[in-house]
Amino acid sequence: MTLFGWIIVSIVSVVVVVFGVRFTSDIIWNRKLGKFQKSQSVVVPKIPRLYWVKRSYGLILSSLVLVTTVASGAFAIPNMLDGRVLLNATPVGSKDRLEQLIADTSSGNWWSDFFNGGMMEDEVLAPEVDTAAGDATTRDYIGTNVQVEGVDEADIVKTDGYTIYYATRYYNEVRILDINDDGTVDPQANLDLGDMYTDALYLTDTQLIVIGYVYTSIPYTYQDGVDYYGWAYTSYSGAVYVYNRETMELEYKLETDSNFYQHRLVTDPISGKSALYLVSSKSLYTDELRPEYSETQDGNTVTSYLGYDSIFYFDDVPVYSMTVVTGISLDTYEMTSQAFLGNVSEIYASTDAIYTVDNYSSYTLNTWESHVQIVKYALDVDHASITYVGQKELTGYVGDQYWMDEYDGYFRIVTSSWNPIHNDLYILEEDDETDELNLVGSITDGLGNLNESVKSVRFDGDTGYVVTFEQHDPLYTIDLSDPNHPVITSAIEEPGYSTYLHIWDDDNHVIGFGFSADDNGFATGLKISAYDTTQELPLEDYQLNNQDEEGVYSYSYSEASYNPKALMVSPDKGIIAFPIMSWRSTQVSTYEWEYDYVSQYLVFYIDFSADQIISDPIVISHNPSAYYVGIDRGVYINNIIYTLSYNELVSFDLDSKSILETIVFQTYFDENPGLIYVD
Amino acid sequence: MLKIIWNKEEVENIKSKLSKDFDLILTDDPNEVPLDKVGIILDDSNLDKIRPILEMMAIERSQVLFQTPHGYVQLNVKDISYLEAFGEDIYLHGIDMTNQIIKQPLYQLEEILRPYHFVRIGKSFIVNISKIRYIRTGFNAKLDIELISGTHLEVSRSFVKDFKSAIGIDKKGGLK
Repeated sequence: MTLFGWIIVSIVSVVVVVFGVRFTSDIIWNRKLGKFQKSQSVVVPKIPRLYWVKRSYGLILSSLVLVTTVASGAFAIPNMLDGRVLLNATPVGSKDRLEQLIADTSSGNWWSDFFNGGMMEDEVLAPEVDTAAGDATTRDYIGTNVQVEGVDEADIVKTDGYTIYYATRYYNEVRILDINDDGTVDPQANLDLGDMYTDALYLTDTQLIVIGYVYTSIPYTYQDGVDYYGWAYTSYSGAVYVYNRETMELEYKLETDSNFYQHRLVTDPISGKSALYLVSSKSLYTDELRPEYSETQDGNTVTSYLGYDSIFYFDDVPVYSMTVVTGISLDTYEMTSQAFLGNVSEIYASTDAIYTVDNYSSYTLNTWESHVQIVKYALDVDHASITYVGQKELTGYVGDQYWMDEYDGYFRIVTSSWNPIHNDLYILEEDDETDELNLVGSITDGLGNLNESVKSVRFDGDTGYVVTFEQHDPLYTIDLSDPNHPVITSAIEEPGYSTYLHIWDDDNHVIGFGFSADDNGFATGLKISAYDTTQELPLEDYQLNNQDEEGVYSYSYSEASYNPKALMVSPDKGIIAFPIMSWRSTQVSTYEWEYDYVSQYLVFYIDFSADQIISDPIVISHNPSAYYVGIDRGVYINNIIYTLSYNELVSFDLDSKSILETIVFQTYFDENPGLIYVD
Repeated sequence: MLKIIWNKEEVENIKSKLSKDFDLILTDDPNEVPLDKVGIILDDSNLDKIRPILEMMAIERSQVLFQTPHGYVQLNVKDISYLEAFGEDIYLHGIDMTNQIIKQPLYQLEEILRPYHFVRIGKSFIVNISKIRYIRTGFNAKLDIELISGTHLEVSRSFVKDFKSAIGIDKKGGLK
């Protein structure tokens, strides 16, 4: 209760007491009078009941005001967090409360469960690009394509120019490949991860960080009042292993009861300190509802739990799982966490904030509506701490992390709704006093023609680019320099659409990666487009057609079309490269076809000043494989491209335009040849 | 056994007041009661309860002589609602809403009427307790009383104690 609340309640209480005393003494007086009159056998007309009702008005009304005031919580001391009034989030506080919230949600409709569960967790890998911090090396290399400078994103391949670390996805090991000065490769012993599956590596000057998970089956029983139901629930136990790169000894290990959904490695540009931020999704079908952390360092294991006071819930958001945001200092391994009840679909991180977004649906008035909840956490990299700042719910869904951006304190987000199809851009700003993200500007009209939904987004400072598509691809350029009044400044239309946009330079040049399409909107193959966003047509397209010479049909795709981290991009070096995988079927007789599987790595040079902006590609091929193992990534070090697949490494010298070296790896299939079907 | 002799014309009145709570027998047998009287026979254990009723009936039947500008007037006590001093005159308000000017000081009237359950409630008012319908307490420690006739009178603060005694709240004195 606030001081003002106490004053109000005290005043109302005094009024209640005064009315109460008066009403009581009224009763006493009149009873005495009645008794007296009866004793004297005086017959007086009875006092009408209405009289007593009237007399009790004051008491009843003032009591009601008192009860309502107290019960309404109008003067309750607001929940505060870091000097901010919590209008939206409420700390859970206790296990009982948490169980109640879970029960309330599961008593809802079965379909809401279905729809909410369905939209998340489809892509465990984080995307993205950019030249990562490359200090302490004199070698020239291209790092992982990340979204925000200073915010590293995990990938299956990491390098510092001297060593390539390559997590072979689902085979529980990390390949360590030292690169000699002459560009040749010196393979080191593989790092065996035991039971841990990983697709996420980070690199610092001294540490190799491996983030993955271990599957665990948890028996779960449910009683509906009559019958017991039981099954085994598969739980992801998220794990973080930090290795000393010099000794390859395990330096720190963190295991938790939830799956690390996405993460970022953030480096403070001033102090140079780094912190790992992990967003995990905890199941609520376990006995222990608090997130559990088990840290091992120097042989000592310490288990801790996140307190119920650090778990928040939002009234409107269904409780199907818990999202836990954890920060770990990579200098001291100090750890901080906060959690909220709700799912996470995508995250966006800058150097000082993490935004989690949850796409969810609601069903009202016979209509499904898609919603997105945005939750912002402030980061303090020096202390690896996180603090909940605020939230906002908007209509529509968010497709990937590139649909979001933070610039100059403003959070920009593009959403797309599918019923009816509609696209919006919103600009939000945190509130100084409450946990609300305030809407400062928006574009709710004009993004996309009829029935076109968003395919890709990219922000660049004061400019935003949005691609929508149904049959044609308008690429919209948006002027965001006035956050209160964003304006669409131009639109380029062409067949096909880009799934990824890369800002090439400051002269309005943008490279798009995506699919070409025919007049009906069917994708016909991969393409690269070069745009000048001040013009109405693309400058140039390079199409990789599905069909080549007669009698040979092929279908090709690239991981880069949905995971921009498979792209190697460097505007400085004028390079864009990506792996492409094709199945080719060749007709050898009337009834006979031959199929083969081809994995290639394509390297394009981009030069906006040249006549042909997008060069013909350099093609680096791996040997055809009897099994589906294509090229995962390419790495650029000192003008040599190292292409990596599970089977082999092929390095290609861009100077001599020739293959430098081919290394065949020992694989799981070599050890288990019976697993492969060979013609 | 208790035998009460009463005027024959009031037999209905007494019947209405006693027959509800007591078993009684009425008789006008000339052997038992004088001529023009009626006898009420009931159990003498009821004497204590019956006494105030009978006293009240006696009071109701009582008549008091008042001095008016035009001579003396004899009025039934039960017909008086309250008395009000206005300047040198006293207004006697009857239950039938009639007024009568009395040429007697209020304090004398207070003394005369006290045995008949009249009580002083202010410098200028004397009220018949039997005519009070209900009492309402106020914020200022005064009392507001409403008479059967609908008239509201105020019990001044300094007379509340007397009023309390009169209706028996103060058990140390006053009427019971």
